[in-house]
Amino acid sequence: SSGINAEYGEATAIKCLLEQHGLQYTVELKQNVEYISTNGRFPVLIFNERDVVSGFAELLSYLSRKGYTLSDRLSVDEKCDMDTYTSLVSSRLEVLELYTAWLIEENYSHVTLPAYTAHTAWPLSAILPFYKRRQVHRLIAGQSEWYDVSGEMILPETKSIAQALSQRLSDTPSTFFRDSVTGEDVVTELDCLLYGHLNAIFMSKLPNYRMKRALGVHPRLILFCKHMENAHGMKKHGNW
Amino acid sequence: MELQIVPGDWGLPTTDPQCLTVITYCKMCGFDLPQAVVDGTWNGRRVPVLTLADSGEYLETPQNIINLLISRDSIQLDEHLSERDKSETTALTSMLTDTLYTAMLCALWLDEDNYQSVSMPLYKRMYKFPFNHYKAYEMYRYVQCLVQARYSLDDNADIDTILKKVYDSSKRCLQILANKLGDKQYLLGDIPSQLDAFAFAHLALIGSCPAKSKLKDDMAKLVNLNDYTVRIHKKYFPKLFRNYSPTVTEEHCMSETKRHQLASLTAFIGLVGVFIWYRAGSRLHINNRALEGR
Repeated sequence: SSGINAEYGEATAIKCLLEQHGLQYTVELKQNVEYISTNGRFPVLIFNERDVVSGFAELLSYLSRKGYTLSDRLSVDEKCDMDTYTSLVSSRLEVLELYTAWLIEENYSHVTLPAYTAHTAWPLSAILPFYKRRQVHRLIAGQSEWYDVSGEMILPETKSIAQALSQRLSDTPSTFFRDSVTGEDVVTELDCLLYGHLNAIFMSKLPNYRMKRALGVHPRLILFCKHMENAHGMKKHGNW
Repeated sequence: MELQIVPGDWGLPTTDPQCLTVITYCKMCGFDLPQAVVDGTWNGRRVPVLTLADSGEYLETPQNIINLLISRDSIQLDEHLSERDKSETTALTSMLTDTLYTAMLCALWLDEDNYQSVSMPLYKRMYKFPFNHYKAYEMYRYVQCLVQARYSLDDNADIDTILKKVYDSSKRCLQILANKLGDKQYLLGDIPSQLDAFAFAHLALIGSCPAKSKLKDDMAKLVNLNDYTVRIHKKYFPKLFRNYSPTVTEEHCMSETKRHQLASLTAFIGLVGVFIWYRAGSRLHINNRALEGR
């Protein structure tokens, strides 16, 4: 990982998922992880020195092919629910994080650009950030409702996502799903993904981070993160 | 207030899913929102655009327009929903606008047959020559950049691999909607909600548009979703539903394409004829001057 906040969320989500499955892993920081990746997503995982898996979504399908799944106890309706909220987090929240890191000038010039080009010589240190920024702009402009890419959309969009997540957690504050028979919490891939991104946002040190303020007004989201660390055996990834 | 929309076809008041969302929402609330048909943009802004005559301001995107209608005119569909239902509305709306809308764009603009038989005739009706060709190419590039940005970093990535991921996502979204609907009248019960407006706008266009695609085939397999779409179409747009015939639209597209081919051929023959006449005329002129010189 290059230490960029936007990718840190996915890395934390993957660590949580591996910990829930009881899988051991080691972390290596590589400058060229973007180019090792098979689909442009990172972090990149290498299993048995042979299988290369990039990003959270690809890891989920890889693990389910190997028989590792956290959501087998869920009903069909609950699995549909899980996929819907996973889509909300990965296609909206994650994209907003990328916007905050790459397209807000204050964050870009003070944090993102120095981190991205820390070990890159000129002229690559001028060319590569330009292409990455262009890609993020295209990704955001491609959202059907955000084609006018501007800072004004970030706060209302984050508020609506935060409200949707908070309302959903009103019934089950510690995880999204409960076992219908025993009533105990069921930690699923969605909980790992959401925890990863919320942790990245709340722990972020970016100077201009409106998302943190918009999410911080929902105590259920903070309680959810605390529960994930205290009650479900996740290693502490944040200081609450 | 006036809603600026693109022209309609295929038995629907408009061919854009975002414009159709707002129109369907207003129909479901029983609110008569005046509409104005534009060529695709309003003062350079993408439609739908809600213009407010009293203040001169305007609003874009369906969610902003619906929020204004709720706050200003109390046109509300979701009062009866629980907190959980409202949360699901946000999540499902986000999912279907991301997956289904992207898949629709790919089907219309990245498939060569659909591009020639559906998208180009549509844009020729919307914009004047030669602007229609430029606008169609602009849209094609927009869709290409969108899917590459979302699914791959590589500008030369295999488009078939990307399209497979797009259609897999849209298939899963359709399955989730079908599961959510079940045997109910509407997605969240017996009363329509904002989610139904969004869902109907996308599903109706997928079903009615003559473009052939994997997305349309996936939707055809979900009987309850098809019945749901037809039910809402008949209830809220009865005249358009009665007058719409899919075969007429396909024939219209075909005959329009043939007319344009004939016009291009005629223009080419005309140009060749002018060239031959000019050459023959200038040779005659040279011969006459040569004779006078003697």
